[in-house]
Amino acid sequence: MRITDNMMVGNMLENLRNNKEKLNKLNQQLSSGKQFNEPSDDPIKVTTSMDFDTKINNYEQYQKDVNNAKSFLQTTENALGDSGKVLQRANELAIYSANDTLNSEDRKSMAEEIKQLRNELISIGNSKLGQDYIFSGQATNQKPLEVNTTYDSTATNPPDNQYVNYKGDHNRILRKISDDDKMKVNLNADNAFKDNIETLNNMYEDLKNGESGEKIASYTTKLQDGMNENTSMRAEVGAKINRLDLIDNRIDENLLNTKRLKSKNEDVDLAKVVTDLKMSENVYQASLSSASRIIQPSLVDFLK
Amino acid sequence: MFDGLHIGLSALQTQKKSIETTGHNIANANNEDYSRQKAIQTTKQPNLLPGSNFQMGSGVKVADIERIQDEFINQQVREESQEAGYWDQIQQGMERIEYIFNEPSDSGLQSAFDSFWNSLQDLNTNPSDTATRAAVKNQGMVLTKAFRNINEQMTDYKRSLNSDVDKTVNEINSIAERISNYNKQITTALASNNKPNDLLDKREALYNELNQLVTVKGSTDDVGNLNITVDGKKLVSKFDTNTLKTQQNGTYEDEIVVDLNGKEVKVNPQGGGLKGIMDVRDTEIPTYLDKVDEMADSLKEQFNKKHSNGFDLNGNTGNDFFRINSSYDRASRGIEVHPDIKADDGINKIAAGNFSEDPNVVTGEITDSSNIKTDRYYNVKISDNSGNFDYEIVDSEGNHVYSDTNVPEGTELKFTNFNLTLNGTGETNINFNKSVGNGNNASALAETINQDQVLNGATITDNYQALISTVGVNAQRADQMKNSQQDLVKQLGNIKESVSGVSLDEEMANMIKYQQGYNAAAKLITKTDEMLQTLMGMIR
Repeated sequence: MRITDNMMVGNMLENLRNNKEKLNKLNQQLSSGKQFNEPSDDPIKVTTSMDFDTKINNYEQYQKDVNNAKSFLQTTENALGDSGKVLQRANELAIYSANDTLNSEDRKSMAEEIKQLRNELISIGNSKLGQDYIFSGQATNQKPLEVNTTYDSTATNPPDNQYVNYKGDHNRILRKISDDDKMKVNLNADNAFKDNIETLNNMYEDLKNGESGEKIASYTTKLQDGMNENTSMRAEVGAKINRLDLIDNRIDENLLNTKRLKSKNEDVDLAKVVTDLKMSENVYQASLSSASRIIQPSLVDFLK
Repeated sequence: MFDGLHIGLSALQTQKKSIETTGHNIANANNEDYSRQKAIQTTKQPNLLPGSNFQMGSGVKVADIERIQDEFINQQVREESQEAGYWDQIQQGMERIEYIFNEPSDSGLQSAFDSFWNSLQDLNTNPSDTATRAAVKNQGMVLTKAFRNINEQMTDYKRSLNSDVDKTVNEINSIAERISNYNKQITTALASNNKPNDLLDKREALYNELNQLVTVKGSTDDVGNLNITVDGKKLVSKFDTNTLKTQQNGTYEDEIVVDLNGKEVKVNPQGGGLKGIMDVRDTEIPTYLDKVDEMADSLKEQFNKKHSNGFDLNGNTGNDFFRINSSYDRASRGIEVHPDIKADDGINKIAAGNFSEDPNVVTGEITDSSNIKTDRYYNVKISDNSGNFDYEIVDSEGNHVYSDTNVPEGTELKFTNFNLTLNGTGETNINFNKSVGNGNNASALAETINQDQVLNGATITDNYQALISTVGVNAQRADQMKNSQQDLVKQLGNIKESVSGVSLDEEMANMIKYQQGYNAAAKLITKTDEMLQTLMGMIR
């Protein structure tokens, strides 16, 4: 084929341009650490990366939600633990009073203590986490247990014989802890505390009215029922906390895995890029050297 | 005797013209548009020697100065240039579109979706907290702004392409004008039997330039005019040109028209850079904008549906969260967080609560709020029956309330004070009090973003990923086509250069050749002169 000078120069420039482009791309990869910048660089990898980004975002959010749910349950568990102690103490007093040698001084101080225990239980029932009441169902702005204004110690029928009224609702608080799972995290004071409060209140009234030691002692049945129920509720809450721990660990693993996969998808293999870069540099230098020789002497230089 | 002088003279003149042609080639060695020329030497008309029957040669003359080129290769180069011009424009357009979408990044639409989802999950945990609600409003605004951003940038780019079309049309007109001028000059020269090689080079260079801009068909007629048509309509016809004009059509795009026999006719470029620009403007951008609109529409529809079914901090249902301002032509431009939500105290109108624990199973609305019992809740169990539903409703004590089989999805059950709508299989509780700590709707709202398959059988975010994938694939293809076309044009260009280009070595050798010829011719004249002198000297 007939070769002209323009062809040689043109081809040389074209090759230089191509080599430089290759060099540039490798440099970009090395400095950014990423295999691609634009979707056109590798459309499938880019959408995979977007998917991973969202998954990582969601895992981290769910971890936050799981930890919030755990706090709620832990506060609940602590409250149940405290109420267990309250009932325990009341029970001790009840057993002690089976001893009929209680005098009126003893009765007065026991009554006072039972009153305090009753009020303590009400206060536990009105526990808060942050701004929210945790035993009020979904009515988290509403104090669950309020002293009944129409309470009459002589009344025999509700509502007047009830010392406290439950003002919350009976709804379940459901927390979304994964794409497919919701967990109920709350107990309400109506189920968990009200009966025990009324029991303590009645015990207090009986003590005030000077009832017999036997009568006082008979409260152990109700109190022990209350303690058992309390323990079983506490166990359920504990089991939920354990489950959330397991979920938390699983999310940790998933996070680690996904981050690893994302890195594998996106990040350059440094060794490979550096090697390729070195090679490209060599090729570029060779083409530069060859280019310089294109500006050859032609026949013009040999004619006088 | 004098014939010798004439022969010598013819040789001198011919070698001189040949050297000048060589010199012309050398001078234009770097002229891209130049086709090398060759002086064709041929013998002059021989003379019949009187008194004999043989002819005497009478020397040499330049018969023609030939322009060396291969028309077939030239045409191939032009055709592939059209393709190259087209894909170059497409590639530039796709590059810009990729840039507008800006994925993957933490400031694109995907990231806005993720943050909005986060805020809704937080709302499920903390439905009554002011800061949490404000975050939902803010992330919602970030999301709608991301949509509008994409729309505005694409629309601006589309508008700028209009001026690109105008510019290209002006260039085409200018080239056509100059070609018609050359037509005049060339036909005039040809008529007086001159071969206007340099003019031909110039006209061809313009014609090549034209081919990159738009696909045209050209033919040379008998008298040397290059007549050009574009999309079948006359562009250059002998010495006249038809000027292309642009005008706006109904959708504010510049389209091209030409005056044909007094009537304005539309011109559709069939290829070349101009078609590339118009395809980006009229096909690529609208396709992608349509998809983004689709997503915005679906987001508003599905989200608002769930949102208005839930209740807000004031206990009200029926609120919208998103709005599409209909004074804009595209949903992606008009989508915004509803002004009621953005107003003071608007965050109280965010419907975090829902009567139903799982709105995907069943939803309810109050029909008689004066008599509704808010302390009752109902357990609703819906199971699948070959595409329809069987359902059972029991109250909080476990007493059976109602059940039925084989009812269609979406059935509405009317009770005294409320209605229930059956949405999907599953089991859930529903009751009608409106506590502020109810976050049931928040998690359902979060699901519209990335769990509910509401658009083309996939989630909204799935649709967005598919769109980015499409953009990436199209951009990649445009890049590859542009590169392979440019390589092809380069290769063909090399072949053309091989035929028509100037090789300095060759010209040098030719120069020597002609110079020697000139020297020899000069010698011939000297010798002939000496013979004449001798002859003259003989007669005293």
